[in-house]
Amino acid sequence: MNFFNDLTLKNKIFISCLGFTLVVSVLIALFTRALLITGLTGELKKRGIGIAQSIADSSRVFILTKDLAQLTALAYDARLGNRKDIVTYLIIGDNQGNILAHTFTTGFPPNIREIVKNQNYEREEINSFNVNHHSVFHVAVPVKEGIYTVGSVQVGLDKQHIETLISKLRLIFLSFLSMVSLIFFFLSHRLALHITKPVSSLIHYTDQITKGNFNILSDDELEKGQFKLGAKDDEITKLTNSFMKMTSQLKQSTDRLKKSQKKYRALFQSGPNPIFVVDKKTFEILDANPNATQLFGYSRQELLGMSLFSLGSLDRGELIHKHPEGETMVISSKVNFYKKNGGSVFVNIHTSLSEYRNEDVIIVAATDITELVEKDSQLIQASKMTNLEKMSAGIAHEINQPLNAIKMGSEYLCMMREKNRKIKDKELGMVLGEISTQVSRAAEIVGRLKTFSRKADFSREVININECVRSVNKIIGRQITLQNIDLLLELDMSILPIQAHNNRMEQVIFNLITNARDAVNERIETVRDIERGRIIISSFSDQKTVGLDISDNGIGIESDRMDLIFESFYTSKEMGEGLGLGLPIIQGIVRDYHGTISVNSSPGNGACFTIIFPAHLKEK
Amino acid sequence: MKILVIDDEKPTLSMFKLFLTAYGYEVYTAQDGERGLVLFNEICPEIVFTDIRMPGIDGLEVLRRIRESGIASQVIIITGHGDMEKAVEALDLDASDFINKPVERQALNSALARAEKRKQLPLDPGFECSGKQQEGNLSVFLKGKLTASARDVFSGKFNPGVLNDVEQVCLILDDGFSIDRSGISLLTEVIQGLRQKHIRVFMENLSYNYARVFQMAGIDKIAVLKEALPEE
Repeated sequence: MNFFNDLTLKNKIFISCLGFTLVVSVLIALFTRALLITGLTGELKKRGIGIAQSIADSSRVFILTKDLAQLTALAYDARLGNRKDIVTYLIIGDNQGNILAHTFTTGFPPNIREIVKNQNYEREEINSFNVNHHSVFHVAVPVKEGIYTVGSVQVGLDKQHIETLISKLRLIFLSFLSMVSLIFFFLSHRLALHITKPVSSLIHYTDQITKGNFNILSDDELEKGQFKLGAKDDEITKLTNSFMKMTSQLKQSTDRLKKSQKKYRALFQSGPNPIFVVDKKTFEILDANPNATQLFGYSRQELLGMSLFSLGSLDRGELIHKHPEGETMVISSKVNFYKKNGGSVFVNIHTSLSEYRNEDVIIVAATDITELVEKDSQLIQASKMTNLEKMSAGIAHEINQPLNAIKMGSEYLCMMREKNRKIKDKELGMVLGEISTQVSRAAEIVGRLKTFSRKADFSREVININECVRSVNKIIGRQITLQNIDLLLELDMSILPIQAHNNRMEQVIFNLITNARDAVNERIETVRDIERGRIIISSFSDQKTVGLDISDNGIGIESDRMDLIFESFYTSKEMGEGLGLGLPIIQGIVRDYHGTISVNSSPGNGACFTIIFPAHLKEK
Repeated sequence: MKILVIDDEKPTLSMFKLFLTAYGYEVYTAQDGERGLVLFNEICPEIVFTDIRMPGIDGLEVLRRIRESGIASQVIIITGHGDMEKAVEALDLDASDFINKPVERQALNSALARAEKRKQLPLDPGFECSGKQQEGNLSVFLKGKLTASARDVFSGKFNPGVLNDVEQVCLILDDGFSIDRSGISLLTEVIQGLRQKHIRVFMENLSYNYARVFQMAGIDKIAVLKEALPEE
C-alpha cells in the first residue's frame, strides 16, 4: 500500500483505472467461460444421448435377433458424417453385459469392458473417463422392448471437440479483452493527465510564489483572473480561479508588507534614538541603527555580535523578567552606557518583544539622556548650594566655635609669654590639648561640608540610610538645636542597605530637615505657639523596603496644597526665600533610586514626610 | 572683680576662665542661659560675657533679663561674624560692648577696659557734646549715649553758620561713649550732611569693637575712623 501512496496522483488514477478494467475483464471472461463450458457439455451430452437413443431404436430388433452384422453396421453408421467428431466409439450390448457390436478397430480397451459389465442397464447413465488417452463422456442408454430392457447402447463422446471450441472462444475473448484494456489504458492515461496536469501546473506556480516570484503570471492574466488550464467551469477551473484570486491577494498583501517593512526600516534607520535588535536568549546584538553606531562610536560590524551588557551597566534580571508580551515599556532609566572611547552616556531603555528574521528578539531603544542627566545633576547641585548658602551663617558659627577656643588658647599663651609670666604645666597641657582637639573638630566640620557639597558622581553605592541621617545631623544638628528645636533620631539599627548616592541621600534628608525646621519656626512665629519645636527622624525597614520618616510639629500643610508641594516653583515661602525647587528635586532624587516620597499632614498638626526605597538585597 | 561667662561651648568657657583668671578676675562660668541667670542673681557679677547664640535662652534674652533685674552689670555680648544685626540689637538693649568670635586678645582687653570705665559712669548718662574750633578744624567731643533723642544736641553743633570756615570735623569719642541703632543712623546722617559740604570727617578714639560696628554700618566709607590705642 505504501508503494501506492508514494505514487503521483496521475499514476494513482491511471493504475486504479487500469486495474479496475483488468479485474472486470477477467471476471467477465471467467464467468462466460464457466457458462459456455457447462452449456456446451450439456449440449454434447444431449446429442450423445440423442444419437444413442436413435441407435437404440434402430438396434432393438437386431438385438433381439442377435444380428451382429446389422448391429455392427448400425454402430458404424453412428459415426458417419459430422458425428464422427463427436462420437469416439459406440458399443451395443445385451442385457447381460455382453458386447454385441462395437466400433473399436484397434482392440477393446479393458476399462470399457469393466464399465460395460458393471453397468446398470435399466437407466441412462453418463460417466467421464479416459479411453486410449482420450477424455470422454461415456453415455449409456437402455434399449427397451416394452417394459423389458433388452440391451444397451453406449456412446463415448469426445471431450476434445468441446475443448477445441472453448479454446477458439478463449482466443476471441482474449483479443477482445486486450482491445478493451488497450483502449482503457489510453483513456485512463488521458483522464489522469486531464486531472493532474492543471494540478501540477498549480504546484509549479505555487512553488514559484513560495520563492517570492510573483512575475510568473502577467498582471493581465491576474486581472482576468483566469488562465487556461482545463475546461470551462469544471472543478479544476474553479480551483484555478480561487488560486488566482488567492495569488493576487497574496501579491497585494506582500506588496503592502514590503512597503510597511520599508517604512519600518526607514524609521529604524533614521530614528533619532539608538535602536538595537537583541537576541532574546543571548542578548547578542543582531542589528543596530546608524544612530546607535554614531552615539556609541562603534561601527555596525563591531556592534553585531556584541552582548548588550558589554555596552553598559544594564541589569540583566530586569531585562529578562520585565518584558510583557506586545508592550513597550521602560526597563530602566538613567542607565550608564559606555562609548567605544570610554566616554559615558546615560540612556533610558525601552524594550519591546518582536520577531526578526524568524527569531525572537527584543527591540531595545536607548534614548540618550546624558544632557538631561547632567542638567539634572547641575540643578541638584545648585539646589544643594542654595541650601548650604542658607545654612552658611549657621555653619560659620559652627566653625567659629573651635576657632574661638584655638584663638583664645593661643592668645593666652602669647600674652603670658610676652609678659614673662610663668604658665602652669597643667594649664599649658590643657590649652595645647584643647587646641589640638578643636583643630580636629574644625577639620571634621570642613571635611563634612566638603563631602556634602561635592557633586555626586554617577555610580551608585550601597549605603545605609542611617549613616546619611547621622552625617546630616552632624552638619546641621547643632544649628537646629540652637533654634530651640529638638532633633530626635530614632534609627532602626537593623535596616537593610539601599542602592543610592550617599551624597544625594544626605541632600534629601538635609532638605527635609530644613523644611521641617522652617515649618516649626513658622508655627512659632505666626501662631505664637510656645510648644517646643520637635523634629523626629525614624528609620524602618521590612524585608524588601527601607524607609525614613521625618516628622515635625510645625505649622502643617493645608490639604488643598498637599498636591502642590511637589510641583516645581510652588513655594509657601516669601519671594526671594525659595525658588520652590526643594521638594521637586528631592522627589526627583528619590525616584531615581526607585523610591517614593509621600507626606501626611494637617494644618496645626505638623507634617510627616515618608520616603521609602527598595532594599538592596544581596545577590545570591 | 567678679565676671560671669555664659557660653554653650565648653572649650570657650575654659579659655575665658584661663584668660580672665590671668587678668586677675574672679571667674564664674555657665553653659547655658538659664544656669547663667541663676548664677547671675546669686553672685551679682560686675561684668557678664554672654554668647549670643545659645540653645534655650539666648544672649539677647539673657541681656534683657539682666537689664530687667535692675542689677547694674556691664554685659558684653560675644557674637560671631555676620551677626552684626544681633550686635546692634544688643546695643539697643544697652549692652556695654560686644566682641567677635574668635575672640582676639586686643578686643577682649578693649572690651574689659570699656566695661570697667563704664562701670564708673552713672547708669544712664545723657548725651553731651562740646565743640572746639581751631582754624579750619572743628573738634567735637562726644560723651554719654548717642540716641535719636540727642538729635537736637548733636546736630546743633553743625549748624550751617558754624561750618563756614570748617574744612574738617574731628569727632572724638569719650571712653564711656555708647550708641544704639537710632544713634548710628543719626551719626550717619550728620556725617553725610558734612560730606555734602565737602568737609572731611574723622572719628577718633573709637573702641576696637565700635570700629567694627561703624564699618558694618558703612561709616568708614564716609569718615576716617581712628581706633583708640589698646591699653596694655
